Amino acid sequence: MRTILKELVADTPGVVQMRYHRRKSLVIRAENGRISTLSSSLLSGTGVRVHRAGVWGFSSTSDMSRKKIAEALREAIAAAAAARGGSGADVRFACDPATGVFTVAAERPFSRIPLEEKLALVRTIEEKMRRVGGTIVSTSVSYAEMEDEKIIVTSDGADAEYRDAKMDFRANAVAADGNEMEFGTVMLGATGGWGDLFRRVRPEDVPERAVRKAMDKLGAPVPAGGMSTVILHPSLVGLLAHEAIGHTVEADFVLAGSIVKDKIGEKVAGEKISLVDDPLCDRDPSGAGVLLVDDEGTRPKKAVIIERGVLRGFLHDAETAAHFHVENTGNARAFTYRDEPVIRMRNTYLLPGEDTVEAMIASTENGLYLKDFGMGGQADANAEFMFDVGEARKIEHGKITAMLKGVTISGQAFEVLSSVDMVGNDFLLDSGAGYCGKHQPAKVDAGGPHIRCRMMIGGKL
Amino acid sequence: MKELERLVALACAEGATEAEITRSRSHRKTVFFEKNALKSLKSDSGAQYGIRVIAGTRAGYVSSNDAASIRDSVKEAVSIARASEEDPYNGLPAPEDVTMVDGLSDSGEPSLAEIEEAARSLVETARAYDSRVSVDSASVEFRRSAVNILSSKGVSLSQERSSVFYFIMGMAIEGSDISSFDYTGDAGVGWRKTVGGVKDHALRFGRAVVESLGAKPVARCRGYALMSPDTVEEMLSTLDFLLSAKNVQERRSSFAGKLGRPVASEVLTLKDEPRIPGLPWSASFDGEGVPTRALALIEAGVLKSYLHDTYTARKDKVRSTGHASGGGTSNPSLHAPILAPTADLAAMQGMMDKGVSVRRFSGNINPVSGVFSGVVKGGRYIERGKIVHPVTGTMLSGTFESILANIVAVSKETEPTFIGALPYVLVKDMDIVGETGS
Repeated sequence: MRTILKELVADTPGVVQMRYHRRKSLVIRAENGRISTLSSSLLSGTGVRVHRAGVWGFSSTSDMSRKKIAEALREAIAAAAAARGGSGADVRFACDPATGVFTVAAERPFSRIPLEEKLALVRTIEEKMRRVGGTIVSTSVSYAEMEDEKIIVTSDGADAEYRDAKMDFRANAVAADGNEMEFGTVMLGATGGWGDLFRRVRPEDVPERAVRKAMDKLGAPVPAGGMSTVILHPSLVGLLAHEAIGHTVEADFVLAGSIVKDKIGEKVAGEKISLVDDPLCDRDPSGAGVLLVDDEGTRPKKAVIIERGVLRGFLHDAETAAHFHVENTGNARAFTYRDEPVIRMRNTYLLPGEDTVEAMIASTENGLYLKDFGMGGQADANAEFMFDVGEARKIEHGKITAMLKGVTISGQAFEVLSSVDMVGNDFLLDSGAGYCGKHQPAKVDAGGPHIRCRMMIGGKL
Repeated sequence: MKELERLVALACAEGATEAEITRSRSHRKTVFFEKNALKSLKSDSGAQYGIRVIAGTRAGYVSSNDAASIRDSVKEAVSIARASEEDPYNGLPAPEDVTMVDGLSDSGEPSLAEIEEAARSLVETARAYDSRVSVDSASVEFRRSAVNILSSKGVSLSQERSSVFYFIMGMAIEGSDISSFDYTGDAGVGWRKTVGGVKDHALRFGRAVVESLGAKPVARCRGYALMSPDTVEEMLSTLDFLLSAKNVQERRSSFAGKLGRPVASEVLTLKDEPRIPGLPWSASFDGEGVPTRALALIEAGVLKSYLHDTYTARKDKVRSTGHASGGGTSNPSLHAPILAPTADLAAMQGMMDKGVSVRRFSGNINPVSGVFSGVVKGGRYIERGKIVHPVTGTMLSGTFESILANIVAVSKETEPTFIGALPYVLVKDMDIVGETGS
């Protein structure tokens, strides 16, 4: 396949990107005492992109023959040629092409773990949750794995083989008492192997965590709405970093007019705030957003977004990097071979500070301790956001006390970051389960330390 | 179908007691605008196979787009089924007579140049509406697809479709004031008829984002919320969860045990109407080949039916309602929801002593706990029936149960959404929480 792609690229004038992508996936789900889903999928093919006179033409094929791939290339060229309204100009892309073989590190690759062992894991955890009984009325556990093999060859010199492996795990418990129902969830995501998925939480601890969250929320009050001092767990710090800030600094969004346009070099957050988007993460090499080669064949780099409160840079692909005359950060990603690469995040996180979490809590007279993403949320071009919180507790006179439920947070992300007065010396990536959506899915991760700040809490009058 | 017959036979030869093969083939052409300019043109084709096998009472599923190795995938499906668990409710449906819904495929097919022209019209009309309009992205797509389902039980069905889909999204910018992000779009079967609405949608988008500039928060209060069709679409997503027989049986839905009982205001009547000719949401059969039918779900606030597929129907000893979504993790789901109208939109706005209209709901409805909380996007503060100003920094909260109970009107006017033409819905007694007073 690599030879076919190299020959076709060499024979085609102008900008050409060819990407073979094979994905093998497995999903196991147990619900209330039975395996309800056991399914496998294979998705493979080659996506072809050419750039002509300011416009991209794209086509794809699932046929691995040279004939069909060449046909897809001709179709992509014809698609670009069909454009009547491109800029008319060709663009020299800023590229740092990847060459060689790239494979994510994996402790016990999951492809070598027997299906029976994966089934046993899911069954065991679900059974332990169900056996709690009492107010627990429904339990489900799901495990998903995705193994990618890519070959990317481009006219800019990329010639890379890339092997990636990602996993997702979720345990859900529903507790009910009369008319009231609550759920508790443990969600994990990782890049790597079987040993990386439970690198922070032992499988035997998962059932207790999930059921305790559900049960503790029963009977918990909904807080009064309004502005509040909050301490955010890294899971929500990551959500803020990714959803509310990260999307506004994706260069395609910047060019469309996001709030950070023309703000490079300006103070956008408190001095304690530094934010990066990183294809690797030294503090957690198994983050779900690990990326060794982007889908334009570029070697991805760490992008410094905010440095001590000052906006330093955006997230780029080859085209936007050339437009802004900066280095390509390698953020171009495509979910399958049938998708075109678009700018996406990787591992997005705040850098740790110097405050201990204990001091943060002890010095808070009244506020909320908030942890975990709940059921949904959104952010906007002007960095306004709203998220549902999975777990919330009061802070009263420097101590974490009663559980609350139905808590949502909202605000303008840069205003919130400007209100940060304490940044923890801890660190966690904790947003690796699930997918980010922007025309197509992407595996990402996010996190940072605990922070204390002010934001709007949605609640009762 | 010969290919599918061979694959079903292979599955049975490998040990499956029942087997079902679904093949979906599609050809698409897409034009994409980004940053107010033409970005890409796309043209490609693909095929996908879904292989569901039952071995005794054990089920396995494999999907693949690799025709060259499809026989290996069939064998893998049987192997997966053998590794799964016995479940007496697993099984494929028996064949039934299916009357095909008319008008789901149109013979006209646009060229890429014509698609580009439509996309350009969408973007340029929006930008020409007002210089403050900024288009983040816009897309127009034409797709032709064909689905075949064949099973060892005798189901043998085919459906061809054509679909046209477009959207535009972006915001308005005036100095440092950036409006709420907004989007609009439409979908249809025939090319000419569907893209005929492009300019109207572009103008609607432009108007919506420009009128969201200068937004202010509102004072905290309890009042009305006038939910737009796009917001109603989100509410229907929660109802989809609650109505799913699978979620009822797995004890995740608060609608469990409530058939025949009130679950909403008597103003609410909800039906699923999947057999209206000529609509892209209509379907002749579901993901298992069971014929679809019109289904009353909630009538005058009373719960009349859940959404069933073959598995959940067997468990409840009822007939499948034809709502299987297919695939490896099937959960019964709505096809084409319709709400019965009760009032004119103008009259509904006139009822609002104090409240907000909700153009988009940026938030969350927890389908398990029912907690409803989110930010009003692109909305307006309304007092004594008149629009006062656009809103920002304003949240709604409550429970989904109370929202259903407090529906006071459903508009006769509808607007297109991504799941069909939906009305406005007026809800009373919503908690409205603003950052500051107004």
